[in-house]
Amino acid sequence: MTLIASMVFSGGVLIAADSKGTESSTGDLLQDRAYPMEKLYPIGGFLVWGSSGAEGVAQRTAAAFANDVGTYPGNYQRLVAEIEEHCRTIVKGVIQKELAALTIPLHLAMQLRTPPVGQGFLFAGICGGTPWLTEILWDGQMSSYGAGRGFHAIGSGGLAALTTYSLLEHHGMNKGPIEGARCMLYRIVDACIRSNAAGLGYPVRMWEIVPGGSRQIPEDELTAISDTVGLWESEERECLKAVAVPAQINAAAALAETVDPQTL
Amino acid sequence: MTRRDVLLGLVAAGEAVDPIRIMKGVFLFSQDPRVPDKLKYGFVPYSYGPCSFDVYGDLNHLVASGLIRRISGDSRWPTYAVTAKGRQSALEALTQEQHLAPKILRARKYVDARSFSTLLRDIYAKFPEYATKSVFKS
Repeated sequence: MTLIASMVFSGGVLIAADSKGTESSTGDLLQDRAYPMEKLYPIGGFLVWGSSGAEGVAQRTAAAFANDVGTYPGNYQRLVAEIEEHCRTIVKGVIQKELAALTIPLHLAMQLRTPPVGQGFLFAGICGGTPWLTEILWDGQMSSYGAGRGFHAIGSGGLAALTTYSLLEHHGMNKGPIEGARCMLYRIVDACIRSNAAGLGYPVRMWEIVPGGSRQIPEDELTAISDTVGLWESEERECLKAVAVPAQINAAAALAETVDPQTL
Repeated sequence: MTRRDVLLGLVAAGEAVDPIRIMKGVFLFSQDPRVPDKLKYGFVPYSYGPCSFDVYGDLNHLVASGLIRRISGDSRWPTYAVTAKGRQSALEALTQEQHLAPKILRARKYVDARSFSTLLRDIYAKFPEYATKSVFKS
């Protein structure tokens, strides 16, 4: 159970995740077999990715990327389309090995959704000042979201995150500076964790990728972001109160409904 | 007396208080030029105005030490209230630096008397250099 969400803003791209790992080999009691884990992995200084699906597949993918960036760092300093394609090649290599290692036929693995079936990857990076955001799936499908919507989410919480994004998009905090974008992405992931507590878990983790490089936002800073989101919510409540119909008008309307117009 | 004692004193100076008001109270205290530097937190402009990330760590430390307690409520953030042990500790610390007690009380009174939006607006007006990264801008 995972949520990886990424959002482009005016100066770069952010990627965030929940931190709940679940152990499926001990039965279906996922809640009892949950543990905190890191779900985001940096590659070089300008690219961070996360994966939904099996942790083992993510670990082997991380090892493949670490090996590749150490050997061929130039692969990650090209045009966006080339970097995307290169990432797909690495993912493909790992998935093919995983499929080859299956002890059951592929059609059965697909039916049972045995990993790597259903594994998803979300990459967020910046290249020549241009932020990019790309999803690669286990079957090789690849979709870019950076230049279009500028937001995407994968994992069991992905749909909830896309819905929450739609609900917050009108605030336009993803169109401005990083401070607002951090708050918006935090609020999305936080809302999904709170509404889907059985599958996702705290703490929220977040990386920012800007022209100067990538950085994981430290925990104390995330607390400040959470407090800012709390203020944002508080101001929303106040805003609604400010436009609410005054009580005396409500009372007058209620009284009017009880009067029969024929008697007037 | 340490910075943590200032934080403890601010929490002890009233009823349970939210982290926004704690942050702004400590900020106002730190802006007083007569307060020794060793008792001041370093603030940076952040998404809700002046912020010192060290305050969060020290709040956690005070909770772990049993000097304050964290109260979870309906809202996103908890509130913090002083414990009996914390009140005693705050009194002992302030006895050493009695001239600071009124400054802490003044800061606490200032933040308690304002709604969030008024508090931010007043602090931004007084210290605009700390409002540069705020997400709450007109």
